[in-house]
Amino acid sequence: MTAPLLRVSYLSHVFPGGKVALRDVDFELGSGVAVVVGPNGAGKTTLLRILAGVLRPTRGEVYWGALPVLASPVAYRDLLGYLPQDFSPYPEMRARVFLAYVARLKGLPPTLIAARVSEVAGLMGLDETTLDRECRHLSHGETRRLGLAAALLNDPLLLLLDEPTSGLDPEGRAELLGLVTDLAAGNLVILSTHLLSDAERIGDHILFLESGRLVLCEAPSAFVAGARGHVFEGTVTADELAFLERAPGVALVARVPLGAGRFRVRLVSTLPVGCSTGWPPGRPLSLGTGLVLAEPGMEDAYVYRRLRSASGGAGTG
Amino acid sequence: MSGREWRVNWEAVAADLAEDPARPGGPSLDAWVPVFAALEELRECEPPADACESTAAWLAGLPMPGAFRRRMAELGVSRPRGFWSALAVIRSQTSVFSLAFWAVAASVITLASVGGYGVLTAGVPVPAGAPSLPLTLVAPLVGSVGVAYALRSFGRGPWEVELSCPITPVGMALGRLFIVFAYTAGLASVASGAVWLGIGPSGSPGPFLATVFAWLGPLALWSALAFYFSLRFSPATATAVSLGFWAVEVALLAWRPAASLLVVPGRPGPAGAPTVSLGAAVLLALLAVREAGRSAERVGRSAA
Repeated sequence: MTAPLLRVSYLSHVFPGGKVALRDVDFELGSGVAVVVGPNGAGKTTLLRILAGVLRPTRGEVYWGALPVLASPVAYRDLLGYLPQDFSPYPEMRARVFLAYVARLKGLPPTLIAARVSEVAGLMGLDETTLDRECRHLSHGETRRLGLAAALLNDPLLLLLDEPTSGLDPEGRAELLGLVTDLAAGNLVILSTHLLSDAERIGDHILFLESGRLVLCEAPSAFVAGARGHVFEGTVTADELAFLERAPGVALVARVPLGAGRFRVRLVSTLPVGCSTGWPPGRPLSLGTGLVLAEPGMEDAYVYRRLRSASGGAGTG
Repeated sequence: MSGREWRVNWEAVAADLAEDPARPGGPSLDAWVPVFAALEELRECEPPADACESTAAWLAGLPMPGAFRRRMAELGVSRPRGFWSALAVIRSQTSVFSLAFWAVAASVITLASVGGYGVLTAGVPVPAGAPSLPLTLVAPLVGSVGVAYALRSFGRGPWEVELSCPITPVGMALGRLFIVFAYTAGLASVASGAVWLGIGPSGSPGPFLATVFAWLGPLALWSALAFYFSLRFSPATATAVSLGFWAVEVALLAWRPAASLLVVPGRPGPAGAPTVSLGAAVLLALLAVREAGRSAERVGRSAA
């Protein structure tokens, strides 16, 4: 049995003005990496803000083990590290001073702060020269690294990262994902991302949010497997492509012009295999039309879930 | 692990958990009271083996603290309480002030005190209290703009990171208010003392406390005003409001009848009356604290 470390119970949040950001989000997570995915405005950032204790939900409760987070916010924050999506430090502050400041806020003993700052900075690839620069002179990638270093200062048991890889170069991204995997050993890391390849690479759980609802919470393999039988690829004519672009329940994932009015396409369809879409007249979508079933990937699965949500076919996970 | 083995090891496990507060859930063990209670109950009623095993597995699955957290636990680091906690908050909040803040505030107050001294030594006939006038004007301005500057992160920039730390927004806000107020008041006190000593106790500045109270009330009121507007609206709004009020005060002082209301001892005006000013300042500060306590409801409001 894996212990549920974090339990989110029927969490809802409505902003003043009436915009509903989260609706009855309910899930449990054990140790590992949980990746929150979903379109813009799905509620990913709101969920992470509530989990980080910086935003009070309209309704619902969050438990860390047996600890009710909303009732004991300070004790809970002692355990977590958080990188917000739009993190920006004090511009006139030197990076080292900023880290020391956050370390003091996190209650680290003064005698350990300098060593700990150097340690996490090293972990995030921030050298001494960078640490001595004012934050306004750091690049976007360096600022993200600084934010991550700040989140790691208290050796958190729960790490919340909102779009942590945004602004990082491919090498930095790979390093960060490796670090997240290491940190997740025995702990819980929750991160949001638009990069589905990242989710596939390090995620132990996928949380798919759509319009504030948790559509599903499952392992990446199950997430991908759900799209099996709904992904097709092959070569089509321009007329067929035009039809596919208009067809309900069909989304093109890729199209590559081959010349002479032909296209290589990859598409996701919520229609079951063999179900006629009216194209070509009287023929099923899948076989015998130049399209064949393909093994789904993370991106296909994401598109499939979105299509299902749009058609009202998604269940809550 | 069998139920019997679990029962045999229970005391050791409980002791281990109690001695290593970082293991189950960080320094506070309060949250784990239900866990101990449940385990205690299991021990009392000789639970079945599967219940013991699932509990043991649950405990084993709890997050293991990293090396740094274990080291803190070994060192016996605990969060300061009471006065020491307040001191730690103030100490942490000094970091948000740049060198420029300390330097500019000190320069402005020094210039004001030099101006006050100059008025007295120029031999110009001036009403009593006039040497305090520059400080009465400048200290509140430094205080209010300083408070707005101190709270510049509220609602933006590093604010979310600060909110996610184990410190309350009210504590942070009050810590910053205290730093600005104490620094400005300290500078103004030194400046008042310097002017008073420079002229001599028998000179015209009047009693030392009177020169202090001439700027203390306005400083408290203006600082509290900026504190409230920063937390209720934004630091930029607070700066604008402070400067606006300050301009009005300067205009009133330039108008002689109004100036006499503000500076003549025995006939204190609204800004010059320490009791009224301090009372209003306390009221505004309390309202501001309420706003700071609601910070967690306002995060992300712009997304709506």
